[in-house]
Amino acid sequence: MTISKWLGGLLSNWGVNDSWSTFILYLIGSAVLGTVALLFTLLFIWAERKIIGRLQDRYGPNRVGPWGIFQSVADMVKIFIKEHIIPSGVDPGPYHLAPIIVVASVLMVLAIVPLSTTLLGSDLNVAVLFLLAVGGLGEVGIIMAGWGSNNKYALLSAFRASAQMISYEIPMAIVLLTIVILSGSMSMNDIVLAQDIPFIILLPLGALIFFIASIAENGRAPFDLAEAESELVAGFNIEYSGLKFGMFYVADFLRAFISAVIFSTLFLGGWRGPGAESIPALGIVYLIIKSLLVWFLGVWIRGSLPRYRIDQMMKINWKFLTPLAILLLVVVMLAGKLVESAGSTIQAFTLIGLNLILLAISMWILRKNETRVEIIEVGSRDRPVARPDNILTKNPRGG
Amino acid sequence: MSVQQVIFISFALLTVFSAIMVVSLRNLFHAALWLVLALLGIASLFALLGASFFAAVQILVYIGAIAILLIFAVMLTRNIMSDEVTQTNRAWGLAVLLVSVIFFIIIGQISSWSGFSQPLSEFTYTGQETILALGKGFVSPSGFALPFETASVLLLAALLGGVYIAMDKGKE
Amino acid sequence: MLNQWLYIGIFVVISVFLPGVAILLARILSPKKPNAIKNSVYECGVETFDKTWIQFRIQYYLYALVFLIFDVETVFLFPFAVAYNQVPLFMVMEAIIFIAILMGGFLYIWRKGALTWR
Repeated sequence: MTISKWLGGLLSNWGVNDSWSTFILYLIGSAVLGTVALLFTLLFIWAERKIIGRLQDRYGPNRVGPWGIFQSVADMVKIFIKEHIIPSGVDPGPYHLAPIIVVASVLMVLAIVPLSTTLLGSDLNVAVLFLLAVGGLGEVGIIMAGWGSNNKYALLSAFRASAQMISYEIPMAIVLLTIVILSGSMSMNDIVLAQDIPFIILLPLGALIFFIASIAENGRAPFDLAEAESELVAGFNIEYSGLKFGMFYVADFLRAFISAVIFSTLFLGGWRGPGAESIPALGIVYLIIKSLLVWFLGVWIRGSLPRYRIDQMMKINWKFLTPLAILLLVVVMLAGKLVESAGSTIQAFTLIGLNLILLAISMWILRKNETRVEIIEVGSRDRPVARPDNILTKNPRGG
Repeated sequence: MSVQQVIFISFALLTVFSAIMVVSLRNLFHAALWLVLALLGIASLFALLGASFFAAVQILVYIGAIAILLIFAVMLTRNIMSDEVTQTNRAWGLAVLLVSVIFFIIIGQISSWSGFSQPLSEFTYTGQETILALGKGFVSPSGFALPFETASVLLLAALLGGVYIAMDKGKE
Repeated sequence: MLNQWLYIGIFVVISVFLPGVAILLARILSPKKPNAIKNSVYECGVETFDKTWIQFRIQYYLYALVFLIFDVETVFLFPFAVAYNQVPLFMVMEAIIFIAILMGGFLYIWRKGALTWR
C-alpha cells in the first residue's frame, strides 16, 4: 500500500472531499520533494568541494565535523545572517525577484521526474517540452538579475550567460526529438517504460551531445565564462549578497544534480533495474545511484578541463553540436523506417552502428580542421635558480 | 462557482492586468517583464482547456525565445529611445469609445450563440492521443502536409530576412 | 490531464514559496546597516565611470534570432516524432524535407558569418 493511498484513505475517513484530498496530497508531496531537494543541495555542495579538492591534489573542507561534513551547514548559517546590501539605483522588482525565479525554474523540473513505479509527481503528457520550457524561465531570471543590478558588468555577464544558455538548448531539444522518436511518447514515464535497452546504448552519440549541452546549459566548467572571476568579476550575481547570492549558488549546484537525474531518466533507464517493478523503494535507489554516477562525471569534468572562451563556446554549439544533432536526427528517422520490418536486435545494432559511424565522421572532420597552435617557448626549459653569485655575470639564458 | 471557474477567472484577470501593464508602462524593460507574465497567464489558460501541448509550447517558444528576443531588442535600442515619450496621443478618447463599441458588439453576438452558457465538456483525453493526431495531421497529404512545408519556408524567410537585416546594420 | 497540471501548478507555487520564505527569513535575521560606500555600485573598486550603459553587440540579437527559428522548428517536429511509429516512409521524407529547408537557411547564415562571435 503506497503512502499516498494510505494518506488518501486517512483523509477520506475524516470526511474530506475527494478533490480536496487530491489537492492536499499534491501539496504535501510537492512540499516534501521541494524541501528535500533544497536540503540535499547542501550535501552536494560539500561532496563537490571535497571531490574537486581531491582532483586538485588538496583536501577539501575537513575541519568542520568529520571529513568536513558540516561545512555546508556552517556556510548556510553564515549566508543566512549576512547583510543584504542593496546597491543604490537598483530596479527593485527584477532585482528581488530574480533569485527566486532562478531557483524556482530549477526546482520545477523535479515535478515531472518519475521516481519509481508508483512515485510520480506529474505524468504530464508533454513532459519533454516542459523540460525545455523551464530552461527558458531560468534565462528570463538571469536577465532580470543582470538588469536589476544597475551595473554594466552584471548586465554584460547576464547577456553572455543567457546567450550561452539559449544556444545550448537547441542540441538538447534535437536530441530529445530522437528520444521521442524511439519511445513514441513525450511523457517521462513512458520514456522510462520504453527503455528495455537503455537509450544510451541505442543512441550513444545522442547521449554525448545531450550531456555536453546540459553541462553548458548549467553554466559549469568548462563552460562557466559567466562566472569567471578574471573575466567579468563574478558575473551577473555581483551585486547580490547574503541569501540572494546563496540562492544563485544553490540553483547552480542543484541544477547540476537535476540535470544528472534527467540524463539518467532519459538515457540510463531511470528507476529501472532488477527488481524495481515490485519494490518501488528500490526504484528510487537505482535512480539516485545512476544520477550520482552522472553527476560525478560532471564534477570530474569540472575539475579537469580549462575554461572555454565565449567564441569557442558558441563555435562548439553552432558549428559542431547543432549540425551533428540534426544529422543524427535525420539518420535515426531514415534508419528507423528502413529497418522497421527487421527484428528488434537488427534495429538496435543498426542504430548503434550508425551512431558510431557519425561519431567517427565528426571526429575526423574535427581533426582535419583543427589547427596546431605553435607553442612558443618563452625562456628555456631548464630554469636557472637565482643565486647571489651570478648577479653580476651575464647569463645568455637570462639567469 | 466551481473551483475551475474561480481558477479560470483569476488567470484571466492576471492576463488582462499584465497586458494593460505592458502597454501603459514607460520603462520598456518592465513592459517586457509584464509581457512574460501575460504569456504565462495565456499558457495557464491553455492548460486549463486541456491543451497541454500548446501550454508547453507557449512557455517554450513565446517566453523562452520571443520574450528574450524582445528583451535583447529593448536593450539594443536603449541608447536611442528615451523613456519620456507620452503613452497616449490626442485621440485616445475616440479610441476608447470605438473599442468599447466593438467590444459590446462582439460580446452581444457571441452570447446569442447557443453554446455560450453551456459548461465545457469533460476532456477525456489522457496521454498522447491529441499529440498523435496533431503529428499525423502534420505529415499526411490529406491533412496539413502542405501548410507544414509552407511553415518551414516561412521560417526560412524569417531567418534569412532577420539575419540579413541585422548583419547589414552590424557592418556599418 | 488537468490533475497533472494541478500538480505542476502546486509545485510552481511551492518552488516560488520556498526560496521566497528563505530570503524573507534571512532578511529578518540579517543586520541592516546601509551606508553610502556599501551601497555604491561595484566597478573593480573605483567609482563608477559613466552612466550605466553598455556597448550592446548585435551578436546577442543574432543568436537569439537563430535560436528562435530553430526552437519553432523543433516544436513543429515534436508531434511528428510522437507519431513516427505509425507513419509510412514517405511521410518521414516530408519531415526530412522540412528539416532540409531549414538546414539550407542554416548553411546560408553560417557562410554569412552570423554564427561567429566577433
